Amino acid sequence: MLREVQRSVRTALLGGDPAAAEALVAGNAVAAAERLLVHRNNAQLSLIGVLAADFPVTRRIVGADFFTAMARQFVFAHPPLRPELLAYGGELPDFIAGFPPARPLPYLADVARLEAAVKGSYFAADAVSLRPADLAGLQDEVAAELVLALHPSVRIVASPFPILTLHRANRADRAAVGRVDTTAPGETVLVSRIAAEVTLDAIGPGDAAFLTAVGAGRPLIDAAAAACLADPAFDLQASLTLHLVHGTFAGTGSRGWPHRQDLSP
Amino acid sequence: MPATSATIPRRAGLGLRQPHMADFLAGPQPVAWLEVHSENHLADGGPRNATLAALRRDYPVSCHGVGLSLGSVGGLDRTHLARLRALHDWLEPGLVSEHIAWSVAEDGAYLNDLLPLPYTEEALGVLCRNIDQAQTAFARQILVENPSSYVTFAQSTLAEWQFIAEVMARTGCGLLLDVNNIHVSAHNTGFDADAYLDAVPLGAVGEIHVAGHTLHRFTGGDLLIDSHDRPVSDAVWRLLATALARTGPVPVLVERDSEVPPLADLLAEVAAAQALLDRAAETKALTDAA
Repeated sequence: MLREVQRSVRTALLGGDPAAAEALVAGNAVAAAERLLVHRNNAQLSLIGVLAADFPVTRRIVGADFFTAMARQFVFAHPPLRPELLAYGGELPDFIAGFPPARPLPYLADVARLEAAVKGSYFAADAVSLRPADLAGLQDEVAAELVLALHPSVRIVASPFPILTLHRANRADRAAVGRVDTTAPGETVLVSRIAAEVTLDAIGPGDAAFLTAVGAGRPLIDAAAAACLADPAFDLQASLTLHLVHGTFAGTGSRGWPHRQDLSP
Repeated sequence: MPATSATIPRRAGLGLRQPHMADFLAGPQPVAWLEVHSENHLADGGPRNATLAALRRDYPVSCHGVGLSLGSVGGLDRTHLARLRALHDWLEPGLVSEHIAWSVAEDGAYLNDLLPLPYTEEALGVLCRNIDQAQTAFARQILVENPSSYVTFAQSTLAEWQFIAEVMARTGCGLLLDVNNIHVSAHNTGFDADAYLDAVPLGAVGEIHVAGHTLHRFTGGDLLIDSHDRPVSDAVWRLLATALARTGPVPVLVERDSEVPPLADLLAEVAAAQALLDRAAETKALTDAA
C-alpha cells in the first residue's frame, strides 16, 4: 500500500498522470487534485529554482520562460538521484545539446557546461596550492619527472564557441548585455577556486593540453610533450610559472601531492 | 574543532541562511544558537563550509536534515547516512533532526519536497525501522518534525497525533514540534490545533520551530502553505506560548527560507521568541516553587 502511494505520488509530481495519486487522497472543499498540486509545485518549482540559480548565464541567454520550460523537461527526464542538490544539474549541458528547441543556439550546451564546472569548482575540496618556492632549486632532470596534482577546484572546459566571452557578456550582475559574435574562435577556460571566489581564465590549446595531462597523472615532461603537440609554441617554463603563481597545482600535504616517480639517477 | 559547547541552549536560535552569513562573520549577533540544513553542507569544501566552520566556533549548531526521507518504503540511502554522519562528526551538532515525511521515490528520484505519509500501521513500521537505522548510524537520538499537511489519505487509520506518539514510543526518538506546521495542517485538514497539542507527547519535545505561512485560494476553498517566506503569524506565536507553558523552556528556532529579509527583521522575531521563553521559564519557576 505504501509502495503504491509513493509510486503514484512520484508519478504525479514529475509530469506523469496524477489520476492514481488523486484516487488515494481524501478531498473535501478543496479537491484532491488541487491538494496534490501544492506538492507538485513544491517539487517542480524548487528543482527548477535550483537550476535557475546555478545556470544564470544560460538562463539569461534564453530568457526566463524558455529556461523554465527547458528546466522542467530536464527535471522530468533527470530528477536528482542524490538528496543533496549541490551536484544537481551536471547532466543539463548534454540535455541541452539534445533539446530540439535549443538547436538554434549551438553554443548553449557549452555555456551550460562552463556553468556546471563553476558549480563543481565552488564546492570542490579545499587545498593549499603549490607555490613557486616549492619547486625552486630542483634540477631540470628531476623537475621533468615530477608528477604534480591539480588543485581540486580546477576544471578545464573547451569549446568551439567563445564561451568565456558569452559568459562575461551575460552574467546576471551585468546591466547591459553586449552583443557577442558567436562565430568568433572557440575558447578554452580554466575554472578554479584557489581563493574564496571561482575564477575563469582563458587558456591556450597548449596550456589546456598541458593541464589535462598533468591532471591525468602524467609527469611534467610527458605533459609538456602533449602541450607541444597541441601548440608548437608552448613554453613549459612560462606555463609552469604562470600556474604556480595562480595556484593551479595542489601543494604538499594535499591529497594527491606529487608522488615523485623514480628519482634515482 | 568547535570551540563552543555543543549543547543547544533552551533559548531562541535562528536558521542560518546564505544572505546572513556575512552579518554573522562581521560580528557577534544576539542569537543563542544556529541551525543549518544538513544537505546544504554536504560539500567536499568551499567557502560555504569555511564560513560554517568559523561560525561553529562561536555558536552551538543544530543539524536539520531535509533529504534523508525517513518515510521511504525502500529504506534509507546508506551513502547519505554516511555523509551525514561525517558532517556530524565534523560539526558536533547539539541536535540532529529530520522530518516525518518522505522525499525519495523507490527509483531513487529525490523529489525535493517533504511528502506526506498515510497514517497506517504499515507506514508506522517503515518509518520506525528507518528512524532506528538512522539513530544507529548516527549513534545518537534524533528529533523528528511533525509535518505540514495539504493532503490526507483515505487509507489512514490513525490520527496524526496517535501516529506521532507511536513513533516516539517505538523508537525513543524526540519530537521537533513545528507549531506553524500544526497551524497549517489544522487549517488544511480540519483538526483543532489546541486539541493536537493536548494529544502529542509533549514530554518528548526537544525543539520547537516557528515560521510563516501563506494563504492560497483554490476553487473550492483555501489552503495555508508552509512557505517560510513571511513573518511568524499571531496564531503561531499563540501556539508557541501554549506549547511552552506545558513543555517549559526548550530550544526554539525561527525559520525563514524564501523572501529572506535583512537579518535585523529576523532578530526581532528571535527576540520575540526569547520573550516567550523567558515567560515560560518564570512560570515554571513559580510552579516548581509552589
